Amino acid sequence: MNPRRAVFLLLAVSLATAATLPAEVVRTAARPAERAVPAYRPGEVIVRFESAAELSTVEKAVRDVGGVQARRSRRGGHWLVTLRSGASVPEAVARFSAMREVSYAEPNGTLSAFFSPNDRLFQAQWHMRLIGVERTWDIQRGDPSVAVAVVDSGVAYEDFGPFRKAPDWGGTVFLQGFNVATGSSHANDDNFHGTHVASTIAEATNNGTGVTGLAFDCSILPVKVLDHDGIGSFFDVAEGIDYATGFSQGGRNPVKVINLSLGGDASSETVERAIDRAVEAGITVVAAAGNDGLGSLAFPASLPNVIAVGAVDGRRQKAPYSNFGAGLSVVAPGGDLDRDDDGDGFPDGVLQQTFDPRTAAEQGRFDDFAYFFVDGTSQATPHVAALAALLVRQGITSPAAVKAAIESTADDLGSPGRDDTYGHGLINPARALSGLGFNQ
Amino acid sequence: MMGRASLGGAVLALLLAAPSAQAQRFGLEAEGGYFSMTGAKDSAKAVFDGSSGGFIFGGAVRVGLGRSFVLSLGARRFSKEGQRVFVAEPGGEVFPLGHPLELRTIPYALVASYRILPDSRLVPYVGAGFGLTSFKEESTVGGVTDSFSETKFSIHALAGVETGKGQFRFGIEARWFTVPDSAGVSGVSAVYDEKDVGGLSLSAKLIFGGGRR
Repeated sequence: MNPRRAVFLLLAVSLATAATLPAEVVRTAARPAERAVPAYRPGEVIVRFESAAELSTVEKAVRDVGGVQARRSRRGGHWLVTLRSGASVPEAVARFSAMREVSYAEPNGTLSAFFSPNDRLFQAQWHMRLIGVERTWDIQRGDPSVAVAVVDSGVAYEDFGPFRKAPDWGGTVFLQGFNVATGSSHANDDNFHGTHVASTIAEATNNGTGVTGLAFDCSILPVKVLDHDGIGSFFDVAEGIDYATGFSQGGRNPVKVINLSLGGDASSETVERAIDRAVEAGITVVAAAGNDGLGSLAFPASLPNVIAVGAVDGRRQKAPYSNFGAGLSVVAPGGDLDRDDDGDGFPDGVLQQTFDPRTAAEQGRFDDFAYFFVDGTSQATPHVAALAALLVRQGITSPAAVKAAIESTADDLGSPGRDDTYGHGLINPARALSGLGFNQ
Repeated sequence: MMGRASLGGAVLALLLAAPSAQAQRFGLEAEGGYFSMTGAKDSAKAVFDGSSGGFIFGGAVRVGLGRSFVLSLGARRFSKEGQRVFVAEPGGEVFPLGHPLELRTIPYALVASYRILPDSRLVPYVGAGFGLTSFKEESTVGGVTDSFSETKFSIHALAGVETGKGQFRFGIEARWFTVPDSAGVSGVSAVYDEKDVGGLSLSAKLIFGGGRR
């Protein structure tokens, strides 16, 4: 077996074509204080009277319910009734609703602007907008108690030796990492790939600089199993998965998701068993479908207890490199560097933080950080891993249920229903996090 | 949907239709009890954290027709708060997601009942009827409230017993109603393939007027 293909890193982008934005000027911006938005304005009720109701009837009704002021809308035919101090809005609504002359009554509810991050390059993250992240963040942003293990080439998460912590991590929490090759706790990235993947999951968000991460309040467990060329062995990958599975902090394992943006043609019982152990321990495993454009999935995405992720471009069409096939679960934005569908002048790769691999290779420096457009199923996978982490935080705790929630709420693409090209479709995080009502 | 105006109109029609000689046989009912959504039990248990029902209250206006028949028109209200959940398949684990949800069911029904032993101290009766049932579901996710409501035809069957003399009497009643095709389109009711928001209730009634003795 060609060792390079035993477990190879799925890099759809050649390093020569990876696109970068110039390093931006960092502006300090404090995260705005969050405040609870009341469900309705205290002391105010909107009432619409039947069209035949006379002004005297309206006045009497308002008085009877304890209103002290009523203002008629210019066009809607409804009234804004101000209640006396301390009056109960639900009671007033109930009393108005019971009146024959009232068409309807409701609290003067409040609406608020959706959360929109102030990260300066967010507008270039077409992939985040494609899956509706702003609405997602209104529902769930994660929590450090839920960790995603990035089993990859390491992460630029600490200053150690020649390695530097990437500048746009902000307050992102990193758990004690593991370097399979050295056996140490320093899972420093010497390739660039793992940092880019981790950035998609938990990049500091709304910190006024750089880009965003989908589950930005979740923590990251860096596990280095791939070398500086992005290559690792079955043994090393299995070791990394087992480390994440057995990780413990304060008597519990915060790792709820393992991201595997890696794969190969050949299967391995060693890796398969490690994944089985992870899933049995309640960890959701997400893996990349592969970048060969083939009609079969790479290993370990081909395993049934893994969420296999394919890639789409900005048009929601299958990326040309993305593998597909019977086991494909869902697709997520992986991009296509040959396209610029949003017309922003940049190639449509996934834009995240990492260091320049050319500088690393040529000068041995791991501090040349920038924001890189990269495409591939490796880049699609962390979107799904981040969603899985958000779902765990929302309350879905079993891997099978997380997978079912992601698949059953995806936007159907291609042929109606599940198909081998798009699986169950493009992930829809907000819908997945919303769950199910009784009949809606 | 039967609104207040149409319900009021129906009550008025019922009152006008009764012979004036039997005016003393008009009565009013007030009732309260427990309602279980047996038509969508698994769905209710999912969103109500293991409970399939809750308190119900309502009232009706009634008129006696001859010795043994009573016609009543009334409405009852069931409302309960729960939360949105995720469940992958029937029998699968239910995961509460913390998004608040409220269900409200109001069946309006015209019911004819037959007194089996009209002269006994305890008067057992059975009845059946039909009506419209209003169903509303409202849930809030991430600050955005979504509402779903519909009104469907419903069929009612009941059995009970009444006792007492004079203007005030007391009764206990079991009532079952079905609202076909009122659920099962989406949400957990689709997962469980439950299509009926109806169910079974057991309630205590206070009856004012309308007695024979």
